[in-house]
Amino acid sequence: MTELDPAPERAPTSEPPAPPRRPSARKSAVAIALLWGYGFLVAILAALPLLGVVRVLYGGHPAGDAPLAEPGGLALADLLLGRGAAPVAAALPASATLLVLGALLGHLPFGALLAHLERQGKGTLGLAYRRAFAGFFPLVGVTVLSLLVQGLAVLTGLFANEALGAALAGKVDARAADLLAGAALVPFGLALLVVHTATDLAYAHLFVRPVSLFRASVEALRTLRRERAASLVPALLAYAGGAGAQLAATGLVGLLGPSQAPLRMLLAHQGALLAKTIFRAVWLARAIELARGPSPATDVDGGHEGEHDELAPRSEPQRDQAALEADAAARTAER
Amino acid sequence: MASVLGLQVSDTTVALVSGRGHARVQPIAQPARAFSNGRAYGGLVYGRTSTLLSTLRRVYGEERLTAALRAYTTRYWKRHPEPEDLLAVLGETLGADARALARAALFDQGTVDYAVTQVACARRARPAGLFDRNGKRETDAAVVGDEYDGYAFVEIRGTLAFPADVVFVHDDGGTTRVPIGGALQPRGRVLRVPYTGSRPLRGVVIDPEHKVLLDDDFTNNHALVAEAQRAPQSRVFALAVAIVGQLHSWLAP
Repeated sequence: MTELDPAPERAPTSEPPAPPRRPSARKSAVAIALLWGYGFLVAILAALPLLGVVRVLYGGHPAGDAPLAEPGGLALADLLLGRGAAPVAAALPASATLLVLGALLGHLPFGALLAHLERQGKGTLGLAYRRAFAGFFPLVGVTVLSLLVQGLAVLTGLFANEALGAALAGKVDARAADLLAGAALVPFGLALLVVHTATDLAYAHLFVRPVSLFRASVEALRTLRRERAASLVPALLAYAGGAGAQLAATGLVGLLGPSQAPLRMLLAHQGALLAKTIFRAVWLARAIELARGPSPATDVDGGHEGEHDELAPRSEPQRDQAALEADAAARTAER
Repeated sequence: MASVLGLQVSDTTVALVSGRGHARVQPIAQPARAFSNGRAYGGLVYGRTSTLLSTLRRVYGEERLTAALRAYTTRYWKRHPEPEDLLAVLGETLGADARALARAALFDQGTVDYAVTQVACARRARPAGLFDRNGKRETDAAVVGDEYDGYAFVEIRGTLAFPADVVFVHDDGGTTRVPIGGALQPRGRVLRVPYTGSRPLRGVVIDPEHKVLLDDDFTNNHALVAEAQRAPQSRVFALAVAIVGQLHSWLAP
């Protein structure tokens, strides 16, 4: 067993191994903070090319960028649609590249959070980062696969929306047609929730056991099928909590226009992103628990995690138990 | 004023943006069939005209422009006024220069771009050296005074030199205003606007209130003196980091 092996090390004793600890987001507070801090850093880096444009055009104003935040947006529109349009357009690809690169490398702190959640109390944060580094490419693979499926779901949803709208045109009034066509998006929204949940479960499986990308995806789907409510409800709560925090920040200080209180704007949005990270970590802790399979306390044969086949579904111990009971009944009958 | 997720956009801004691009290539006052396309027609007739009237209101005052428009509508009630009738009323109420500027903006594709190209400031010093005074040669030592002298070079690019203020910003935040412009000019020109005061300069801004909405470019209306420290761009920093941070949170795993 190497240092990077995710399975807990066991002492060579006849005593049954201790059950794995229940992951807790609170115990991984540093890993959460590092993940949030990484996002903040990427935001600053990716914003730099755009900030450079503003610095060139408004750096020489005695009031700094204050005119850009004036109500009405005169100076801002003049900057973005006038002389600043070309430099901003030139800076956008650089910002977008940094953003995508940042999101790609973001699998490292994200993986470290998963690894830390999975091995709480059994390793340092450094070890978690080493495990995240080792699992970097499978993590990226899960993300790419998930994005493809999400894109497909979105495209299909939009196509269904358009098709239904076209089919209803002229048959019902325009408002009703819009409502019905909008209702067609609901199943696809639910599909997106399922894909997001399965993706997080696949991430968790990658760290619970050293499995391939394909196996992690299959196991995630199995876990989701086995534990529908236990997976979807906490996932939905976490996603809704994160989105709610972002909406609240946007409602409080805005998002698309410069504020006269920049510190307030910065704190509100970064606070929302921190809240989103915490919500996600709470759900990921639960996802790791689900990926581990049934806990010893609820295991019907009284065995421990790891005594079964590592990828065995929950029904297998139940089948074992049934076989043992049948065997015992047969012996009794023989006597 | 419309507000979308904290971005506030006024109808003045919309009018300015829609008309600005077309103003250099065709006039506002021309037959509908003469406009190159519908976008140019809308941008000039609705956008640029609105921007011209807003400029007149901001530069000459709301009361005076309202009085002019009231006189125009009262005088030509149930009649068929010509463009010259409107210009005549503007001339009577706002002055002959305003009339000339409005005419150039409507008929002659008149534009303007105020730009600061240089600003400097230094403590006033009495010159030192040997001087012949009243048949005698006297030696003067350099004496540095408490006053500061400075200047700003302002380019008026275009013909519509609407009245505007050159605002010298002192190092302590105070300001000194010097009015420039006010009349139609045949071509662009450069002005040297002098400054004298008890405080050193930090920079200069032309028309900080954006009264002259017909100004083609607001980004060149300001400059700092060479040794002045740049003001922080904290608002734009907070905005950019918020937007990129939100995007990252949706893109990242």
